[in-house]
Amino acid sequence: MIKRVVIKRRVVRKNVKASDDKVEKFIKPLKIKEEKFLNPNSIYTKMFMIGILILGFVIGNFFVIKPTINSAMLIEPDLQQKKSFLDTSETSKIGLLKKTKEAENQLQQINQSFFYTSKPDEFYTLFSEAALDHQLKIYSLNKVSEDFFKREKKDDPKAFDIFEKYKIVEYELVINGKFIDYLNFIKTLEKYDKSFVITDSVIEEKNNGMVEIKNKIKLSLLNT
Amino acid sequence: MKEKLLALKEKFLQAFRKLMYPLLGSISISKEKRVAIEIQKDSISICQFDGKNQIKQFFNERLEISSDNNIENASEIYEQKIHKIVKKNKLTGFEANLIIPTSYSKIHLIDIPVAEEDAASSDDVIFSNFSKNAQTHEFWKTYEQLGEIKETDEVSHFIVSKNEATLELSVIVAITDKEKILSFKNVLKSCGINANLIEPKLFSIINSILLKKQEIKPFQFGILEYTNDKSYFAIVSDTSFKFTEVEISRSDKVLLKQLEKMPNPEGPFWSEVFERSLENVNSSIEEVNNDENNEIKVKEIYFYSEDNKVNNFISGLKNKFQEIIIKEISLVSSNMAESEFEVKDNLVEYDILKENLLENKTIKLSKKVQKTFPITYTDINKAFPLIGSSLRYLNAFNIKKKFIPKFQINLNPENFKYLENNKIKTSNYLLNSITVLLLFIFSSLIALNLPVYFEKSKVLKQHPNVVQQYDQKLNEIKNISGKFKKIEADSKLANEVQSSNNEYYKLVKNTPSIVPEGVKLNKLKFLDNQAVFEGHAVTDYDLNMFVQNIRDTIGRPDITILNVALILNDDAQSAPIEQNESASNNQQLSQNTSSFRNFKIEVDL
Repeated sequence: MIKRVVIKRRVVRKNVKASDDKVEKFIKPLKIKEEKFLNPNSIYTKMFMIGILILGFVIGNFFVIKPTINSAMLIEPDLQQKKSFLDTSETSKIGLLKKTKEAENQLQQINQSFFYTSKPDEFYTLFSEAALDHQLKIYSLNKVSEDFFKREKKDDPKAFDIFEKYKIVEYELVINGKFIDYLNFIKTLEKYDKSFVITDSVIEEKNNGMVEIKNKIKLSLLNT
Repeated sequence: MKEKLLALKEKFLQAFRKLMYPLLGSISISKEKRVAIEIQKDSISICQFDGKNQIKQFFNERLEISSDNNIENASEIYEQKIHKIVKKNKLTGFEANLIIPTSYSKIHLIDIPVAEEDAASSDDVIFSNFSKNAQTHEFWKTYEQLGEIKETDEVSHFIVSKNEATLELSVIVAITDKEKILSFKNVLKSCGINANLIEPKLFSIINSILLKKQEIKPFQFGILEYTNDKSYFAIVSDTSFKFTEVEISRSDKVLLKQLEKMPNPEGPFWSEVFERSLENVNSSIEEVNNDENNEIKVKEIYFYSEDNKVNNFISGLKNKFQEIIIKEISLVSSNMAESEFEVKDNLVEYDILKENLLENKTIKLSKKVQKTFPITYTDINKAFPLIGSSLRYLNAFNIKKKFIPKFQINLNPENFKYLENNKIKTSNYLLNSITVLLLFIFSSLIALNLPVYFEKSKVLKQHPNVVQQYDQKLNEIKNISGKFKKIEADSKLANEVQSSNNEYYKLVKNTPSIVPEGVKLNKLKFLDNQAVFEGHAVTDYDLNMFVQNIRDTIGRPDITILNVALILNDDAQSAPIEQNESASNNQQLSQNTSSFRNFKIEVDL
C-alpha cells in the first residue's frame, strides 16, 4: 500500500515537471541536406558545354545556314532566269523546229535542182532529150573542167575555201538547128529548173536559116 | 620559363578576378535567402534584409521556456517553439546569420607574416591563399599566443588588414567550442533553417555601428560590450582594429552587481573598483591616443549591455572617462511618441547620448516593418546587433558593396566548405544562365533563319535539276538552232553554188521580139554577162528601132561598130561592098546594090 503511494507521488511529480515545457509532437520540416564538397569539375564541364554550344551555333549558323542562304541568294536570279527560260523554251523549240523544217524543205528543194554526182548521165539525158524534142543536133559535148566548188576567203582573196559537197563541171556544147527551135529548147530547159548556167554563148547564123550555137555550160553537181 | 608561365597565370587570374568576381559576387549575394537570428534564453529575434536597402522583417518573439532550460539541455523544446515561428513567418529553407554570445569564443588579434611565395601577389590572392592554409588546427597551433587549441574547438579567422610596411596580416582569430555552435545550428537545422554564417555578438554590434560610421571617414571609436559573464572592448577605425577582453575579477563583478542597487557610483571606493575593472580599456585607449602616428583619437565609446540594470555602471564609466563621450545605439526615432517611447525603452531614464542607427543613408525599415515597429519588439535597444548581422552574406567572392559590413568572421566549422561550394554554385548558376541565355539566343537566331534556310535549301536542291533541265533544253535548242544554222548555211551555199540562167534565158527569149523587120542578126554573143549583137540593118530607122528595143527590154546598148555596107541585089553577089571604094563606080553600084548598116552593139546585162 505504501509502495503504491510512493509510485503515484513520483508519477505526479514527473508530470508537474514536464508540464512547464511540454514537448508537443510536431512535424519537422524536411531536414536540410548535409552540405558536401561540390566538385569544381562541374564548372569546367559546363564551360565545355557552353563551348560546345557556341561552337555548334557557330558551325550551324556560320558554316551551314548562312552559307546555304548566301549561296541560294547568289544562284536565285540564275534559277529564276533558267526557270523562265524553261517556261518559254518549249515554245521556242517548237518555233525553231518549224523554222528548221521549213529551211530543210527549202534546202531539199534547192538540192533537187542540182545534178547529182551519183547520176552523171542525167545532164546528158536531159539535154539530148530536149534537143531531140526540138530538132536540134548536138554536134559536140566536151568536158572542159571539173573541180570542187571554191570560194574566195574574205581575209585572203588569194586563198579559197573548198566545198567538197559541190562539184562544178564545165562543158563546151555545140548545137545546130533553127533559132526558133533553140528558143523552144531554152524554154524547155528553163522549165526543168536545174542547176546549170550557160556562161558563154555564141549564136551564129549559118546557111538556110540554121544557126550554130556554141555554149559553155557550167553544171553544179551535188556530191552524193 | 616556369616562372614566366606562373607570372602569366597569376596575371590571368588577377584579370579574371577583376573582371568576373564583381559579377559572380553580386549573383552569389542575390541568391542568398538569408535572415539574421539571435536565440536568447527566452526569446528569438529575427531580422531580414532585402539585399538592397530595406529591412523586410524585424521582430522578436518570446519562446516561453522555463528558466532552468537552455538550448543545450532542452533542444527539442527550442526546436518546437522556433519551428512554429519559422513556419508562421515562412522562413523555412532560409539561410541564417546566427548571432552567438561573444563569450562563446576566445577572440585574439594577431599579426601573421605573409607567406614568401605570396609576397608579390595581390591582396585578394594573399587572403585567399592564407584562408586555404588556415584550415587546419596544425596551422594555428604554431601561434602560441592563441593558447591551447582542442580538437573540439573551431578556429575561425578574419583578416582585418595587411600592413604594407611589415608585410604582416592583422588577423582576428576566434576559437569556439564546436559543441556550442552545433547546439544552435542543429536546432535551426531541424526547423528548416541553415545557419551557415555564425558570428560573435561583438562583431554584430560593431557592424551595426559601422552602418553610421562608414558614412564619415576617417573615424575611430571604442565599443564596450558589457555582460555579467565577460566584457569586451574594441577600438575600431576605418583602417585598424584593436581588441581586448575586459578582465574583471570575480569579486569586482559581485561589487559591480551590487552597485546597481546603490543610488550612485560616486566615492573613492567605486572609483577604485572602476579603475581596476576598466584597466584594460583604459590602457587600450591610452595606447591608441598616445600613438603619434595616429591622428584621430578615441573620443567616443559605444556601450552595449544586455542587462537593463546598468545605470550606475554607465555613470561610473562616464566618471572614469570624462573626456570621452559615452554613447548608446538606439533604434527609436526622435519623433516617436513619448508614451510609446517610455513603455519600450527603459534606458531612456538615465542620461546617455543616443544615436539612432536607422538614421543612415544605407538602409531603412520597409513600410511594412515601420507599421509594426517597435511594438513587435520586446526590448528595442537590445535589437540593433541583428541589423548589423542581417547585412552579412557568405560573400564567397569577397566583393565590396555599400551595405556589406567590414567584419566578416564566420564561426561555422564548415565555413571554408560553404564558401567553396558557394563559389561553385554561383559559377554553375551563372554558367547555367549563360547556357540558357545562349540557348535562347541561338535558338531564336536559328528559328528566325530556319524558314529562310529551308526555303533556300529547296532552292539549292532544285537548282541542279533546273540547271540539268536547262542545259538539256538549251542543248536541244542549240542543236536545233545549230541544225537550222547549218541548213541555212547549206542553203546559202547551195544558193551560191546554184547557177541561174535567168539573164541568158531572158536574152534569148527576148531577142526575136526586139529585132525589127529591117534588122538581121548574124551573131549573138553572150559573154561575161554581156550580150553582143552583130548584124546589119536596112535603114537607120531600123537600127534605131532595134537600139530602142534593146534599151527598153535588155539594157543600155553600146554601139561599138557601125558602118554602111553594100550588098548586090538579087542575082548579084551577096557579099557587101565596102563604102570607101572609088566614087566613079558609085552610080553603077547604087543600081545593082543595096546599102546596109553593119553594127555591133554591146549590152551589159
